[in-house]
Amino acid sequence: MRVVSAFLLTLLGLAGAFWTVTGEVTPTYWLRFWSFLLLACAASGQGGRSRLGRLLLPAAVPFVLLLLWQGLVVGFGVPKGIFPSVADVWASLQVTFPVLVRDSYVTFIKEILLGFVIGFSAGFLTGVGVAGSTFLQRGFLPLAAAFGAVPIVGLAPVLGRAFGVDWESKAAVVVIVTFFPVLLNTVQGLLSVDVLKLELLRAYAAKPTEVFFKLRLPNALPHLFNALKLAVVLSVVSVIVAEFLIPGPPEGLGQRISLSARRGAYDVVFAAIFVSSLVSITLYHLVSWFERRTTRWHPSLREEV
Amino acid sequence: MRREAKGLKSERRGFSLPAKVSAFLPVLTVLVALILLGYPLALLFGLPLALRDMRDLRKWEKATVTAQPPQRLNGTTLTFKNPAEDGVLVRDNIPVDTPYTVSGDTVTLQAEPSTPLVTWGETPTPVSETIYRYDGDLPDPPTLYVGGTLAVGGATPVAETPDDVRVSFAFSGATGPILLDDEVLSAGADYTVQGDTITFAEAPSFGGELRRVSGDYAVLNDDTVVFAAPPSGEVRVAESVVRLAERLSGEADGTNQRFTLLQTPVVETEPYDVYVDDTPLPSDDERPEERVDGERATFTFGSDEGIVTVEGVPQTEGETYTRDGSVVTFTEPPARNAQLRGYPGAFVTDFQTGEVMLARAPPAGATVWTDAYTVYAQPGCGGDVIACFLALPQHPVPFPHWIAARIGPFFNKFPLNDERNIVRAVLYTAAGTLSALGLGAAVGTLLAVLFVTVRPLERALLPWLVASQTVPIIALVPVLLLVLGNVGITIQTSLLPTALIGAYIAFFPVVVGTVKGLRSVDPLALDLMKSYAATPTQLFTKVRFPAAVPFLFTSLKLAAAAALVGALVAETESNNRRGLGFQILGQVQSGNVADVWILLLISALLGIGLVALVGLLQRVIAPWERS
Repeated sequence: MRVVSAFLLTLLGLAGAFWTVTGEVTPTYWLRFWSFLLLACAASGQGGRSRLGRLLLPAAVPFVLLLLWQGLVVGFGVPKGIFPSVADVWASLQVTFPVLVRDSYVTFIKEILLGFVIGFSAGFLTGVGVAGSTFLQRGFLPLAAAFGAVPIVGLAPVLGRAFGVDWESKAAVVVIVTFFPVLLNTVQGLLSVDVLKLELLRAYAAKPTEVFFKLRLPNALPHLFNALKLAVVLSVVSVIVAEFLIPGPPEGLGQRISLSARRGAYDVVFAAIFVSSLVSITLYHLVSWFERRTTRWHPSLREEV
Repeated sequence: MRREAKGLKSERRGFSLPAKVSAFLPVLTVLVALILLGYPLALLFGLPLALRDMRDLRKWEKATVTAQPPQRLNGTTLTFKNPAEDGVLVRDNIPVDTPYTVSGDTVTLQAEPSTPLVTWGETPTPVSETIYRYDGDLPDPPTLYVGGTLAVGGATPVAETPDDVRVSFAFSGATGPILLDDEVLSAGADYTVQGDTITFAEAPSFGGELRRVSGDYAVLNDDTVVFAAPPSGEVRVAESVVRLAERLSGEADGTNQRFTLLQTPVVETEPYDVYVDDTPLPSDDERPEERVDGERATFTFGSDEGIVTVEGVPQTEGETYTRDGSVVTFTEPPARNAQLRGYPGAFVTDFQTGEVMLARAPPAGATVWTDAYTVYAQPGCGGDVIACFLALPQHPVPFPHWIAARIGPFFNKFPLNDERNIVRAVLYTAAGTLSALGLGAAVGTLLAVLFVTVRPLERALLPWLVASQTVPIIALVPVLLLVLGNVGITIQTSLLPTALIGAYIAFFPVVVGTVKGLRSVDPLALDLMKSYAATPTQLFTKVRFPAAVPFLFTSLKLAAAAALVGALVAETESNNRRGLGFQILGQVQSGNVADVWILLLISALLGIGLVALVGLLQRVIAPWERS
């Protein structure tokens, strides 16, 4: 009962706010806007402890945020050329959708996928190598911070020189931003093995390969997934930075954003940002779904359930 | 208590060096290895570019056709008029890979190519910035290259001759220095320029030869070359440029008029000289004597045979025109001012396909050949890959010692009072990063506390924080600067935009880390506090915060690196010449790759320094947590 009333009140608040921001800016605009929005916020928090009730607030947040954006832009009368409203972005998203899909293909399939696969494999294999040698660990790990601190802003143009301005250089950027998190987490994962388990396996006269595949690798999996989640988000952001800094053929989301921003079409900019965020959130959740499937046994996931 | 194994083989290590040495030795080794890795990497990335340069026609030294009489290709022996001991044989703009030997005027090859050859004369020596002197005899006209590009020579004579009285002269279409009797006059002292008109301080004497350099250079009497502007590269003189011969494909059966070039790399659209056996066909084109006014249909040409073209399209005799000796009558008058040409010998219909049309069918069995279809060139960087590699203007990965050599000049490039001074740039970026870090840490900690105290808020907002990090911040920087600019805050005057952009990236790890830290409280400690009836505030200050401190600092270290990235991104968008981000972009744009690498190293060091600063802070604030 409580859920239903909270749900209805939230809906009322959202609908009211929607009605307000799509209507004329009258003297009562702000009053209506804020009160409806507050109603929606307050009501969505009162869903109670049931499963559905707990979902109400997270579900309402995106709508509240979008309405807040639209309401502020409309209420202050911000021109489209400075900051577009949600309605503008939505309209241009519908118009530019085929273009953005093509751009996403270039950015995600050509640039990120290839770079990610190479960077991940290289990082993992190097990580296994480094973990296998105390000398390399001592040599590499203190320098890892330095590698991480090399800014992509400077690296991207250099890679552009090396690989040309087409998609290859952007894939190279992805390789680099993927490589180091994967390397570090692999090393950490392979090494943070419980000594007792290690000794048990030794006592059973396990071969080094068996120790690796039965103990070290499973132990490294959660670390690897952390690295993957980080790398997914990082590579999307970095590839867009790279497309900004290595202007090549006019394709790819970053190029679209850069070109549109230069001619003041911020509605297209936001539409492209929306698409890139959508894809990277999807990728992020894909990785965490995969993580949950493969490392269900790990304490960090057991606690969540 | 869980112990962690340090290394896979740590137990097996039998010997040990003194502790200090053994700690630094690996790092040092890896560092040296990385530096040494720079050499193969430089070659790996540079050699393909060098090869590309060698094959890139635009980077080749081109010569115009200063036609030496063409020499026939006889089997595999090429004969050149001028003996050439040095040069590169080129075909289709790619160096001939067939082995060949040069001996005097003869080149012997294995295959049957037609290739050009450039021989270089002496390099002129600079007398001043724009005046170069050639010690030998300059070929007439000389073919000059500046930094691998063909330079255009020429000087425009003055319209009115000097007469001792006139002081103002008009030159049209020339912008270079003024020459009087092959003396270079100096602008300002001897004359002033206003538009096309030159006004002299002293009237040039009667009959003097007044010229103005119209191309890149002009040649004076005593083999001196005057450049319009200081040449941007090495000045070289081509001694001889030789055309080669090639047979045309197509059967000469007595009726065929159309032949095709065996190879069709028509790059220079110089007139083709076509030969039937040893007789050259007239290669000039003729204009009709009459004006093409749109009404006239009958035109008179110089020759009584040949191919007639209208706007470059060959016309068919009997269909569009009839010929009576040198008089051509069109069935339809050509349009007004249409380009009407007659080609008495041969006409190349299409430079792309290389089709050659002869005015008269050669007798059956005759050999038809041409001489001019190739570019006489060699790669601008020289003959071999290594030379081209070393001559690359921008190495993607420079040799490490080149970078090292740049460090000194780089630091001294700007004095301390210039805001582009590198030390000031580092300080500026550090200030931006620290303010971003401060802002990000404050917002992040606040959000974390809110999330821990108000659970629904966490459920509602945490997924959106993850989403916020997928927004490419660089895309929002221009928007943000525009919005802030509207309220009078610009990146030129304030650190706020930099701080906001850096904080946007930096706050996320702080939130995640601090929430985790605030949650990672020992349940026993919580129970204890509850049994002491501690207030929620006390719970926070005495249990939760101390527990969160190590997490907070770990995430602050991540945030410091992130804030640096944000600050650099923000600075690339500014044009106030301050900060490392601006410098990186500037060096990238001017192509100083070695300097970009130095800046990357400096940024990396700055990042490490900032992380170390956070570590230091941690030791001061939370000395009980020694990591």
